[in-house]
Amino acid sequence: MNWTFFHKLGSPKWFYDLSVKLQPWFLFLGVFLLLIGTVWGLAFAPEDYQQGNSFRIIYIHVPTAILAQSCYMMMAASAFVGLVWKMKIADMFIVAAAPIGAAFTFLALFTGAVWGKPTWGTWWVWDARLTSMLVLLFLYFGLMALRGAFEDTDMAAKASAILVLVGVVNIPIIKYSVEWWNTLHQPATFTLTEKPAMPPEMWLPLLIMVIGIYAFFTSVLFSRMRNEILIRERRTKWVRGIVLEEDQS
Amino acid sequence: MSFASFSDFISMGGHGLYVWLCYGVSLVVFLLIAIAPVGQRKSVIRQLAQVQRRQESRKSDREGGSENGNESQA
Repeated sequence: MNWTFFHKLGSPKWFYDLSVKLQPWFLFLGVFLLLIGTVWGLAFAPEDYQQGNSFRIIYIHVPTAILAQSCYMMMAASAFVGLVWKMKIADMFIVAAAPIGAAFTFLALFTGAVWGKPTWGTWWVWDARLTSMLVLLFLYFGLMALRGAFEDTDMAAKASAILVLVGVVNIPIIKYSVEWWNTLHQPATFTLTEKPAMPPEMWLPLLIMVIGIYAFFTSVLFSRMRNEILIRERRTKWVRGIVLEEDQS
Repeated sequence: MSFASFSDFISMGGHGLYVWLCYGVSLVVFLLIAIAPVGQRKSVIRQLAQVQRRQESRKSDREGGSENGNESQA
């Protein structure tokens, strides 16, 4: 097997240069898709026969909830790579991704609560899905707090990688909570194996929003990781060059 | 269009408050996420530049100091 790609990926400079090239495309794609999905979902998708127009919250709720979890899974994969191969970039990913994941988890919870009011008659219930999502939010917060508690970057990297890996047990709980326990929350809208129960003019905008939010996430992630690279590689010649150049302009 | 009029669109069949609250808050959060790293970058560059300038001036001080030392010896 050819490992060159893997080694390159671990090089902060290579990643930095790549992200400079790719980031605008992801940002453009993300904003474009999110705009289309929002307009489509808000104004053109047919209203739900049971929930009326409050169902339009789905176009934010589901994408943010999907990303909240998948961001955590990516961080867990990264934590594993960081622990086993000691790749510097793996820890940078975790640091850069955690705040975005926290923001999306917050949005999923918030939109869920607002959606719950007209649909279930309550903002919040302590059922399995909602509680495990709240735990996810606290995992993100805990991780961000943990970073601040360490002076030494290597120690911080190790501690946060372990925390991320321990917390990963929460992800299947979130996913299967709607099947394992009685819950107010409805089951998944999208599954890989079955056709959605909605008509296409309802789920197409949702799919567009999901892809859009992934692109948006990637673009923000690139920006955050670049900042992290600048800080950690500050002693290298190429970062000193960038700092010098940008400070003068 | 799934609404007959613009006011229908705003009222969302009585659920307007919930729908617009969600979309409004989400817009704010998305903007914050997108803008935060731009500001972060500026402050990182500023801080690193400061450190670099300090290092440069210390280096030139040291070089200047050794020259003076040579002069006094001669």
